[in-house]
Amino acid sequence: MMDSFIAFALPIFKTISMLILIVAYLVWLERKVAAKMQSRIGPYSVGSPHGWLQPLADALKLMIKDDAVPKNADKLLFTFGPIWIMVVSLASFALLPFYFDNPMLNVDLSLMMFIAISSLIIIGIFVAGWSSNNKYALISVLRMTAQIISYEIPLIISLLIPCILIGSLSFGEIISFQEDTWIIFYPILGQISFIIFMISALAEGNRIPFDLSEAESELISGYTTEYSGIKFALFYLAEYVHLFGICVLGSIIFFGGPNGPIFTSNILIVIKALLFFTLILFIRWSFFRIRIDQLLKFNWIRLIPLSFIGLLLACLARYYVDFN
Amino acid sequence: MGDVNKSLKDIGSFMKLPGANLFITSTEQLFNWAKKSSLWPLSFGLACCAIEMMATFSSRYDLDRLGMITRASPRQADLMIVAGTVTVKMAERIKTLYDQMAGPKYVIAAGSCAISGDHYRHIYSVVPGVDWVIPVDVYVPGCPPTPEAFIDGILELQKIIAVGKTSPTFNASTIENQKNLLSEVNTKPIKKSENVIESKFIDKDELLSFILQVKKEGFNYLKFITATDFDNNLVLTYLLGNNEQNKEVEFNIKVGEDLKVDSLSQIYVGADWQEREVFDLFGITFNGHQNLKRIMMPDDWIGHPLRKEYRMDTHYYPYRPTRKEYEKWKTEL
Repeated sequence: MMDSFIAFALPIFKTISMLILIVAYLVWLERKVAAKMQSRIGPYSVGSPHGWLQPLADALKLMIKDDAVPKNADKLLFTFGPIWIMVVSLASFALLPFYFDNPMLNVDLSLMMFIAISSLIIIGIFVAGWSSNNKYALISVLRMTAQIISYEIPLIISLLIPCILIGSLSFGEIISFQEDTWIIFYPILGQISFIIFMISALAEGNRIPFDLSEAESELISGYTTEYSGIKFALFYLAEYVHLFGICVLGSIIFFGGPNGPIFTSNILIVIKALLFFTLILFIRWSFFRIRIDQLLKFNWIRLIPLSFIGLLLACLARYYVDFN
Repeated sequence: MGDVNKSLKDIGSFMKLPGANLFITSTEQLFNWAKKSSLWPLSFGLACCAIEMMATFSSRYDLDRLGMITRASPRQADLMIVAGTVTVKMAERIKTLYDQMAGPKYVIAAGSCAISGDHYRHIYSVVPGVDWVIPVDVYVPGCPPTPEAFIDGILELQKIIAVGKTSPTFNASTIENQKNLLSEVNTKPIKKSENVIESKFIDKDELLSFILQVKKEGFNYLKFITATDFDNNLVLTYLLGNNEQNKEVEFNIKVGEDLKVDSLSQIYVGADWQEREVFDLFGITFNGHQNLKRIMMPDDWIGHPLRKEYRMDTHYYPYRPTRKEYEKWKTEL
C-alpha cells in the first residue's frame, strides 16, 4: 500500500519541485534579460554572483507579508481564485513528457487534453477579478475573458495543422514523427502554424503586446489589484508556470521535443523551452501595448482566416503527400 | 496578524526547549533578510522630487540591482516614498494609500517639503511634514534629493530592517501646541492695497446684456475670469477673445457688498470651472451656476483662502492622530 502510494506520489512531487525551481529562475531570467535590453544590470546585490538569491528573497517576503482581504470581497471565492489557477496550471504538466521519459498521464489524446485543462485557467482569473469587488479588477477580467476566449481558436487551429500532417494527437507519436525533420522545417505549413501559434501564445500567456489585463497605466495591476502576500505569489507563479507550459508545448510540437541534431534527451525539451521563453522576453521588452479593439480585430479579421487557410493547406497536403 | 516577530514570541512552550533561542533568532534574521532584499516601492509621486525619484528608478541608477521593482497596487507594495509637497487634500489620499498597504510596510520622506513643509510650511494648504499623517522610517533631505541621496536613504532603511530595529517617527498632535500657534498668528495685521486697475469697469447689473452683445460681435472665447481683493472691494476681471480678428476685450466688475454676480456658465462653457475656482478661493457666489461647489480646497474647508482677511497661518489641519491613538493603531496592524 505504502509502496504504491510512493510510486504514485513521487513523480508528482519531483515534477512540482522541478517546476517551481525552474519558474523561480524564469522570473530572475526575465529581470536579467529586461535589464540587459535597457542597458541596466538587473538584480545584483541579493546573493553573489548576480543576485541569484533574488527569487528566494521575493518568495519569502511575500510569504510573511500580510494577507489583506478587502471588506466587501467575496471571501471564499477570493481565496479560491489563486488556488484554482495554480492547481490547473500545474495539472497541465501531468500530460507533458518534460521531466521523465513518459508523462504521468499517458493518453492518446494528450494534446487535446492539455488544451482542455489549460483553458480552465480563465475560470480562476474571472473568479479572482469578480470576487475582489474592485472596478479595475472587473474591467481587467472582462478584457481578459474576451481576449483568451477569442485567441484560443487560432491557437487550437495552429496546433491542428501539425497534428493533421502527423495523424495523431498523442505527444509520443508527435515526438517520434519528428525524429528526422522538425515540424518547423516543413515548407510553408510549418512556418505558418508556428507564427500563428507564437502570436496566440503571447495572447494566452498575457504578455506584451497583448498584456491588456495588466495595463499598469490604466488598470493598476489588473485582476491582482486587491491581492497581497502569498495569494499574489500564487498568481505570479501560476502565470509563469502557464507560460512555461506553453513554451514546452511549442518545443514539443514545432521543435521536435527531445530529438536533437547530435543526441536525444529529455533535457533538450527544457533547453528548447527556455530558448522559446527568451524569444517571448525579447518580444515583451521591445514592443508596445495595443488597444483592446485592435487586439480583437486583429484576431477575428487576420489571424483566424489565416489559420483556416493553413488548415485547408494541411488537409490538401495530407491528401496528396504520404508523410509516413 | 502580520507581525512575525510577535507571533514567534508567542510560542512560549517552544522557547523552553534547548536551542530554541538559536532557531528563533536565525529565522528572525532570515525573515529580516527577505524583507530588506525585496523592498517593492509603490509607484507614486507628488511633486518635483518625484522626477528625481523616477530618475533613480530608471536605467542609469537602476534600483533593480537592490531587488526593487515598483508595484502599482498598494496591496503588493512594501515601501512608500513620499516625494513632494504634501497638501491637505493629498494628505487624506496618502493616509488611505498607507492604510491599503499590507504590512510590513515602510515610509521614506524624501525632500525638504515632505520632511517639514520647507518654505511652504506657512501656506494654508500645506501640511508641515508628512509625519503629521503617517509614520516615517527614513528622512532623505534635499530640494530635491539627488538619486544618490535616494539610494543612500534606501540603503539606510535596509540597514534598519536587517537589524530589526524599525521605530518610525510620528509627529503626533499635542493640543497645547496648536493653541499657541493660533494665538501667535492672530496678532498679525491685515494689509490691504489701493485699487490700481485702470481698464474699464461696467455695472454689475448690465453684465449679461453686455456679454451677449459682445458675443454677437464675435468674441466667442472666454480667456479667463479672475478676482482681486482690493480695499473693501472685490473686483472680478474678465478677458474675452475674438480669434478671427485677433482682438481682446477686458473689463472689470465691482462685486459689492452682497458678493453675488450673474453666472456666465450658460453662455460660455469654459466659465463653469473658472467660476467654481473664484467661488472656492474668494467666496463670490454666481447666480444661475448649476454646480457651484469647491473645486480646489476640500469640501469641508472653512473660509476662502485668497481673501485678504484670511490669515495665512490659520492652518486648517488635516486629521492628526494623538500619540495615544497612534500607539493603539500601531499595535493593531
